Amino acid sequence: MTVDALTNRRGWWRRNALPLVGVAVLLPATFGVIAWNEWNEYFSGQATQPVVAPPGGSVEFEGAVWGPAEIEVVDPGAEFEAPAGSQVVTAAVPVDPGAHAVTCHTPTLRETTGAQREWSDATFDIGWSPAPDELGSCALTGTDPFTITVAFLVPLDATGPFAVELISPNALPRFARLLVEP
Amino acid sequence: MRRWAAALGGTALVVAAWGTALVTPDDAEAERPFSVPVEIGDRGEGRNLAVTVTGIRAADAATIDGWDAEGPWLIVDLEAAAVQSDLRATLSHATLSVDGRTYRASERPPDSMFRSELAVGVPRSGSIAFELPEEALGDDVAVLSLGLEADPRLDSLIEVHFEPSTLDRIEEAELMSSGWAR
Repeated sequence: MTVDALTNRRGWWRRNALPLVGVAVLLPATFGVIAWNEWNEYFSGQATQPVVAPPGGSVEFEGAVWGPAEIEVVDPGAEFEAPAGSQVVTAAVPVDPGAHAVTCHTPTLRETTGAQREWSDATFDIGWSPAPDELGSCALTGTDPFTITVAFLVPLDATGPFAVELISPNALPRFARLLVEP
Repeated sequence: MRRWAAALGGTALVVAAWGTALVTPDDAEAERPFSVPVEIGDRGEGRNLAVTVTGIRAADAATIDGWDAEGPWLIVDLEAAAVQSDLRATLSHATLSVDGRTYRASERPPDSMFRSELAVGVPRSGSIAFELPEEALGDDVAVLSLGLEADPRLDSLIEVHFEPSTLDRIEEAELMSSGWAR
């Protein structure tokens, strides 16, 4: 290869330096923007942004005050015998709706470490009867304070720490995560 | 650039494109379920499903709770639990593949684990029944697939390979009542 040819080759890179830099910037930027856009759209419909209440504390969410959440191992009564290796745990969440009525789904119980397993309401399955003034969700509530109480069937190897999670459909992707005192 | 170098480069690119097209998986391959092969009696765990097939029986007739029907039937006894979350965790995929044909679990028995709800970490037990043509029970190779979604793409499938022809055929088999395993 002659010296001229070498100069020519270097010359091509130099002549096209600006477009090359443009490609180097725009190519990753394109992938980044598309990925961010797609994931953002997906996550905006899912409960992905927790509004966290500290253990034993409450949190303001959707104009209402939620918590402090408490859980308790209970004897479900004569109607139901917990299967071997499991126990019935109830969670109670006091809610002060404030000026407007709130909406929420039935809360779930989650392990906050390890596999972060999640349990949903088992009140019906285990035939546990809550007190008449205890509600399973925010359905048909007004602006008076009330308490949501739900029962879960949890294996004995789930030792916590736990959180009670509440989704309010209009607030997604934000949701309330109330940490429970161990 | 020399003419032969351009021709060589062009050919190399065409070969590379052909090779890429050849090794690119098609859509069905890219969305294939994640198979978890297990033996009868062993626990298989997938993304959100843990199953132990405790027995497989072949019978001319199946019964449960006063219901009975002529078959032939293949009855699968199993224990199943959710692993991570019990939201939408139902045993909705239960198929048996024999000789290129796929049979879905029967909806006829009034009590079956097919489409039943699962709990996280607390196994439930029961039976799933397949109503089969006579020749399927005489075959040497069958694959039982169990999953959470009727559409199994991109999710775990617990799979048991067995030989239907080696099963002892009985006149009448009673399905297990669905309930807590322990």
